[in-house]
Amino acid sequence: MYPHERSLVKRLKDKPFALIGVNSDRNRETIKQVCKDKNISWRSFWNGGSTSGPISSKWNVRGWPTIYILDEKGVIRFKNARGKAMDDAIETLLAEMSQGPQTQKKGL
Amino acid sequence: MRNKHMGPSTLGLVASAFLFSPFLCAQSAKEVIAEHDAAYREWMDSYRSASKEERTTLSSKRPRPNKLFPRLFAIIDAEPASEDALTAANWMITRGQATGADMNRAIASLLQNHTKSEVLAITCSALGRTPTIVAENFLTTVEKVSPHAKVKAQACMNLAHLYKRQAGLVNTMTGMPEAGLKNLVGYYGRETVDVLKTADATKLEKRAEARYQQVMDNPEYAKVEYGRGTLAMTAKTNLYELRFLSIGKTAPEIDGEDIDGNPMKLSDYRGKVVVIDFWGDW
Repeated sequence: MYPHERSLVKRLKDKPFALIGVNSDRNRETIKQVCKDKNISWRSFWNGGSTSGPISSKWNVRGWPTIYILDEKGVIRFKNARGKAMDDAIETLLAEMSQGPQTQKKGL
Repeated sequence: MRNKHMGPSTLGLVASAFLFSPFLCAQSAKEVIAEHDAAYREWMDSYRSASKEERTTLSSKRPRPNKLFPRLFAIIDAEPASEDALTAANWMITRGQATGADMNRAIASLLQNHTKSEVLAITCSALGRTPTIVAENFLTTVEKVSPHAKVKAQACMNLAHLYKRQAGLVNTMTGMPEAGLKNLVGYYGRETVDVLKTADATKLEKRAEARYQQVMDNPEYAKVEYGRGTLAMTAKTNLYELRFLSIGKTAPEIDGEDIDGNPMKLSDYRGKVVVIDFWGDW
């Protein structure tokens, strides 16, 4: 996962895009070190040090990794798209954003 | 195959006459299934000890459950109301990976003859994953007529799962090319595809919600043990997922802190395309 995510973050750094994690590791210090060592620059929520922490429980997460992709309005648009499918999903949503205002103008 | 040992052709003739006699045809569903299980175990053993090259040929020889279906349907047709017919139909649904016309036929036979059986709880669980009209009719009827609280509860719960699946299917079917629809017909049958073609996904989701709610509200259903908890607990998570975490819903707020302990909110990222990755370094 890390190499794909690193390249994604790098490639889209000038776009309205964010990758955020919800981390369910047990030890906070260990995971801080992992982020440093593996060059994980994006932010992650702390899930309380457990796979059954408050965020993953509320989101009904039963498998790891689980991935949600939201559009700019915060609407869930894709679930568990990985690799190429994830790239395509993000591209689709970014394209929608840049086309959005034009479509609205047409409507007016 | 047995007559192979007999050698002389006259004996072979006698044996094949015997093979078609009612005595041998009256093999029970349990025996048919046991025969398959034994063949499967044998195949598994040889697969495990095979080399990589041998495995390619072996995988095409894996005993297929649908090879049994003609014999199991014969058992059902001979005496549809019998215990044996129930075993046969149940096996095709829960373990035989039946699809299309076979699946619909197996369900229809249960619907006609065995809706009051005590063993339908597992059947219901399998049908929650089968978004067909026949499965829907079956679960609706069983929920109404079964005298067993546990079966009724599973029927209700799995009707909810089924409607959720149907809603998903309606969404995938929108704009699907003709070839894709044809595949679905093979998999679920013409009737289901025709009904879902014009169905409203939102309405189906509402039906699913209502059924999950029913599992939670009916004390007889709610307390049924399921997994590590109760059916009500599973219904509750599913209901939440359906209402707040399905595609098209606004993601629930996450108001927490990051790994370093700084405050962090999901809504801070509005205006951006966001990938949320539930991860761990393991």
